[in-house]
Amino acid sequence: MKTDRPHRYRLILIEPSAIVSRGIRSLLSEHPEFENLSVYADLTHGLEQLPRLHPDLLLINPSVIDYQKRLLVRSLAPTLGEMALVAVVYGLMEEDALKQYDGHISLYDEPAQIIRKLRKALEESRPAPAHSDGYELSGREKEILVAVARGLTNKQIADMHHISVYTVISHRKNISRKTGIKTVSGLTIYALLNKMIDQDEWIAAGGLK
Amino acid sequence: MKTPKNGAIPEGSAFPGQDSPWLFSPKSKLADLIQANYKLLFVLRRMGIALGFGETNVEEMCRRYEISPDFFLMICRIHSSDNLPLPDEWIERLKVSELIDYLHRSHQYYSRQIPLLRQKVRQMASPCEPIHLKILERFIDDYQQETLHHFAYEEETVFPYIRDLAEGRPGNGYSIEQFERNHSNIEEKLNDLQNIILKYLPENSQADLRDEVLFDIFLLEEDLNKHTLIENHILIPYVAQLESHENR
Repeated sequence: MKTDRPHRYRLILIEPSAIVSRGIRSLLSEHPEFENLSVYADLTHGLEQLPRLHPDLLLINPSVIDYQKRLLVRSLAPTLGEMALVAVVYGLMEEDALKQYDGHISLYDEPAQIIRKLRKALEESRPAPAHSDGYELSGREKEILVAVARGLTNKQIADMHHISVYTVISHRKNISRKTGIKTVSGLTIYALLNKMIDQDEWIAAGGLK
Repeated sequence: MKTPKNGAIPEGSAFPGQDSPWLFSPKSKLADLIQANYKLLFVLRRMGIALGFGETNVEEMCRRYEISPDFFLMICRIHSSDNLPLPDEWIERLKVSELIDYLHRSHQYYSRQIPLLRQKVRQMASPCEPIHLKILERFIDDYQQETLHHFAYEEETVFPYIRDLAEGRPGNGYSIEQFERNHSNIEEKLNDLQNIILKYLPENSQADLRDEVLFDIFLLEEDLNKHTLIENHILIPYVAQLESHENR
């Protein structure tokens, strides 16, 4: 049955500081959609709960993650690819590490700004839910399709568009759902037939080797 | 594919209609089977059964060709129904040499079909822009390479391992789990080709041929899906069982 109540998201917060986590909880409690928050002070306990709680969004302080693993956040747990990931940043954080997330909030952000960022991350982690019933490729999807057809990797595409690899993968899933085409060589043909990439350029790049 | 836990074969009533694959029995006439599902012609060919069999029934025919009726009916049922439950007893009663033989002949069949498909696509796309023709050719060439590699791996590594295991000579270090993990999906590219020809290739003067190519692809896709299903849901569980006996 459908109701008019706003969607309620399930959130997990992994944050070592009690002051900060209580602050975030209090801030979110003013917004019914974010009421459902579970807080863990360390990484291991927080990650353990992922399969059970199936959160829509994981808020995490990147400093709880070992330095070497910060660039591979999504690989910390198998289900991490299925949720929005937002970093809680106190001060400076490496730019490459932050690229792994769908967004980040800073301790100095205004409350309204934090809420906006969380909503945006949730929306982006499920690319274009409003149009997902349609079969037309969105502008972003076309850009990504062209990049895939040109042979770029997900990582290269993510860097080019300043989005996470996870978001690239979500876009690619949508592209395949809409076109029915799943393989890279299939997508290349699609791009060529639809003149989304220049045929001469493709031949020059060794496309017909 | 849902497999019932208890391994029970559902009552015939769960599959209403004269053509239900559950009604296939050792006493069924071969011709009736084919008329219920003409795609079983592919199965007959792979079992080496020639047409012109008159009123022969499954049992008689199996005796003549030295095929076990259980195996023959299992393959016919799998090819005749979607979402067919696969009872455990099918795996228990399996003669693995028969299955490997069948899979081997299937590989030979696909290896013949793909070049034929390539020829037809070429002909169909001949009035297209030359670049489109080249793109399609290149795509099918890649596909052909991929499938040949896929089959060669199974023929040269997986099947010999299983034959040895079945004869009590466990292989060194290899296990069916490695196959399960790396068993690539060869239907995906074919499905892409189907989508491209159906939806995205610009209209040309070869409408009849285009339909024909599509029919060929649909049949091949369906056949390959069943082939993969047999490998993943019959062959792999069978070998895994064999391995666990071996380790006991």
